[in-house]
Amino acid sequence: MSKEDRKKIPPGTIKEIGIAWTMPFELVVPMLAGGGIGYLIDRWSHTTPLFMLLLGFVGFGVGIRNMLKAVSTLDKTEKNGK
Amino acid sequence: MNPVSWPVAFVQARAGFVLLAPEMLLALFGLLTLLLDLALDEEQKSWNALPALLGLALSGCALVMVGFGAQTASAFGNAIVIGPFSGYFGLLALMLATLLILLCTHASGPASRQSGEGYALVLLATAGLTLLACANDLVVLFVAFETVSVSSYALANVGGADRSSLEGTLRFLFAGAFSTALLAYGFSLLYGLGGSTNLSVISARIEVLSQLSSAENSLLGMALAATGGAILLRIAGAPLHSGTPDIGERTPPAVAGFVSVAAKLACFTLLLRLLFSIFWRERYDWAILLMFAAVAAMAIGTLASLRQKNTKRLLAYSAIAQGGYVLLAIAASVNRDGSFNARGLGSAGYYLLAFVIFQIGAFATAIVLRERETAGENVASLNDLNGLNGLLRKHPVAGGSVIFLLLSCVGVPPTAGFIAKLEVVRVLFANQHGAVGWTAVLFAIPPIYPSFRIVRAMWTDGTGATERMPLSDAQVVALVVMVILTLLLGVLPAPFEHFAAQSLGVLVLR
Repeated sequence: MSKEDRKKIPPGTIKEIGIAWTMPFELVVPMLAGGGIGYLIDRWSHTTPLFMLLLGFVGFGVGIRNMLKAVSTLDKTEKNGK
Repeated sequence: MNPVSWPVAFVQARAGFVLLAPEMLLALFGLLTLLLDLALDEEQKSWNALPALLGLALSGCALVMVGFGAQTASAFGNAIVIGPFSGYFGLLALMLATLLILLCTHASGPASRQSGEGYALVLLATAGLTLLACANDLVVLFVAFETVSVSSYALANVGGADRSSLEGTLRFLFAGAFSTALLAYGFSLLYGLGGSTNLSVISARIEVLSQLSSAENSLLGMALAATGGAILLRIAGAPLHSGTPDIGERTPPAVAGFVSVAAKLACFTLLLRLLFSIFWRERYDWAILLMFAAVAAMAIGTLASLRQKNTKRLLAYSAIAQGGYVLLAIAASVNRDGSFNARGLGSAGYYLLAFVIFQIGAFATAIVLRERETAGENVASLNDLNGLNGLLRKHPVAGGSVIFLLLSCVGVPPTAGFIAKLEVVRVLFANQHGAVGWTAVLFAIPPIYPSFRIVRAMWTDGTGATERMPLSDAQVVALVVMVILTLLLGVLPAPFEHFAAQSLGVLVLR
């Protein structure tokens, strides 16, 4: 790749690709954790799938909140950087 | 041969026309909408939606009555075959058109924007889609496909032509013309090979011959390359996707949404019809080619969407990536031993059902942006994400619905998009395509990030008027219906997957 071609790739692209692959785990991990804990409680109390769904949704809400905070922080960093 | 008397011929032909009732009703109501538009004053143009919706409803009833019988029916010398396959794709087309027309009934802005021409073109394009689903003849396939295409070219310029949309239309037209030429070339090769335009006759001739000569093998390969290339160009499957996001950016958002989804629906209908009949002999070749094209589409669509600030371009690249998953599902319908995998085909059908709903829902983001402009809000830049600031507060139902549909678009549980992607990945792993399966999982992750940028933009309050943003009741109904369907498909996917597998599975039962 020549110097001219390298210049065509916008700066920060590689960083953004890295963020895109890591940030969604902020959404997924709380959901899996909540669902997993709920599943274990259901197995102990024989209430499948009540707690799994309940805690899964709570995890979903926490995940959404985490994602929004992370995106917000990233946008502010970008604006300050400019 | 005894000549058939003309009364008998007349009755026989009329019986065939009954099977085309859905298409004829759509065409009739499209023309009625055009006529009504002439009679309406500028302030009354919103009434154009009524005959359009009525036509869609009646066509839906006719489709259910003729399309879902236990047996398939044919007409016009087997050029039209009505059955579960045509019924399934017909229902998808009608659902697409209904949702779009509901989203187009504006609450604000000049009523003249709701011209009868736009609705008529949507109905005609839908008639082309339903005809494509039941076509069993190369000529009928071509005519139906071009009906969808030409309607889409005209639709791109309805509502007033500005320089930007004219440029988008021209690019769209040139890309479409090139793919039409390729398609016609491929069809001419198939006609030369089969000696007929009927798909059943051509595929029977290919099957009966125990061994095709090298010249005929080459012809079949060239026909596959030409038709496959034409269809990939229309699906905007990488690496033939160039220009598609630019086209989406320059056309009105509702049109961009309809055209992107309708074009993909038409292409996948055609692809399924051809691959599982004439090209079934070449299934090892096309399965691998489809996997390469699918991975390229997912990679390019996903990576390119990450840097997009323009909402419509972001959604256009997202649609390219979605097309990749459907291609993967079709490729997974062929087992490693060459046998047919019904689950793969069923996952393709289910994905298309979910795709129609969430892609139109995702384009509702851009439609809402346009509403803010016509409502006179001081929005910095309509195509910029900041144009969505404050949407959730100003219209909680619309904002919440759009957010949910965006989450389905990127595959967040418990939405239909997540189940659709999950099913495709499961079929790939079950078929021992582990590498491709992990690639699909890998490229399912990044789209979540740009979608959350849109969600955050809606959540954030911006400067501007504080009154509620006007949306018509029809638009709100469309959004709520899409949310309910997305949730239903996501929480109870089994009946829908089974329905899709049964409907598409008839392709191989010959």
